[in-house]
Amino acid sequence: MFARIKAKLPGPKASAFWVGVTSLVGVYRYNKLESRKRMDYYCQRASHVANETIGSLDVPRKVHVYIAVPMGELGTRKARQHWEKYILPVFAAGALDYELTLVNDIETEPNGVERVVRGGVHERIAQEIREQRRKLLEAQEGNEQLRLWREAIETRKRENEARKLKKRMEDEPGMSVLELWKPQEYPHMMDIVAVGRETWVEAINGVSEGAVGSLNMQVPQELPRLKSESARSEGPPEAPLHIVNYDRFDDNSLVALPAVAYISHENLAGWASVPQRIYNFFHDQQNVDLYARQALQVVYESTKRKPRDVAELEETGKDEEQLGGWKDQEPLEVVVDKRVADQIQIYDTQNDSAPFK
Amino acid sequence: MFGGVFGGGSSKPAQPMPGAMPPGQVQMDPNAQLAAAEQEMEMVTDMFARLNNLCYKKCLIQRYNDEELTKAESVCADRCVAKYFQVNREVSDKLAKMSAAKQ
Repeated sequence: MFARIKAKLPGPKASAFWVGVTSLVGVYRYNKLESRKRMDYYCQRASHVANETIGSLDVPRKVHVYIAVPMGELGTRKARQHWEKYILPVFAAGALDYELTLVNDIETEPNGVERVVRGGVHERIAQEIREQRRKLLEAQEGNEQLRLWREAIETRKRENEARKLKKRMEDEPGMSVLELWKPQEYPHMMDIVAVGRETWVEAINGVSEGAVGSLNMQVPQELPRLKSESARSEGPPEAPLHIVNYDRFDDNSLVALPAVAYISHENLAGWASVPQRIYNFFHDQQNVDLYARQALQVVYESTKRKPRDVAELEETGKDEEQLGGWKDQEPLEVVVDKRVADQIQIYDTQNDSAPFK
Repeated sequence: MFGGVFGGGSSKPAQPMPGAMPPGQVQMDPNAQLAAAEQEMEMVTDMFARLNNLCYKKCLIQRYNDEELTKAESVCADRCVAKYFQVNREVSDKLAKMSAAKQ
């Protein structure tokens, strides 16, 4: 009888194969289960914010998430997946509204090599803060000239939009007025969430430049239409720029700055990181703990604080520079004005100070 | 939300001068204009009712401990409306392109 049973059993090599496959599948499934449990834990802690009531006419809190191209990559795909996997579920559980900006500026050099152009996040944040400062200046008494300029610019924009709409209504007679609906803009300044060290550096530099930099605005003047054929064939000349001088009205006081949060992204790039990536595939729980905990701190406003010193702003996320993707890349430095460093607030994402543990 | 229909809102586009007709457009009969406006109103009301039902079912938790919406419900409702209008716009653009291609 034993001989018959033994004949039906798989051989040692087949057994080794099936044991190996089953173990791998088991480890993978256990990893998925544990990761889900840990994510549920952080989501459950965040849900206390979601269950707070809010008036129908009040606008829920919103943050602006910036994702730049990680070092060693040519696009934001991996960073976006990182955001969707670890950070977004916690924000959704905490009903934290967000605006996501993926800054994906790539240029192709003459020799065909693609290169990432840095500075997109910096420019966008600086522009936003400059606009805020301009609006505050325009609202002050005695700055009538600025208000007139703003009105002229807004009127021109509205006329352009009305012209485009009229043309569209002529081309599409069945167009519905519902298409004129636009979502309401967020009335306050959104706090900034920077995913990755490169985004953090650009965000801090952008806040600093926007807060203390020049406010002068360049407005292109409209040119008359070209009438002669020869002028048309040469192409339209560049519109002369008129500079609106806001600086002479500026009293150099700092506006309320948005708080900035850093959420790490340890992007494993390159062949040397393949063993680590294989390990992470089977053991993702520590990543969930690491990133979801940071996302949870952003959900709670109580984790906002002033940085201890300028060095904290400079050193945040510097560990990421040891990773393979940063090799042979230009170093990024935080350059922040002292007044901005004294006033700016950051989210304490590197410690777990959120409630409901 | 309905600033374009019921008036008000700073982003209202400029209205054409009375009596000035854009080129290529036939002047509509006042009765026809009234009928078009009534149809538009009916369409908007129907759209509002559908949107209300849809977002209510999707977003509102059937728990009435508080009279006010929670943040989760509020954010969900905002997104539900925004997505509805975005899909509405994209589908009508697509249909317009298809009908233009057939002509």
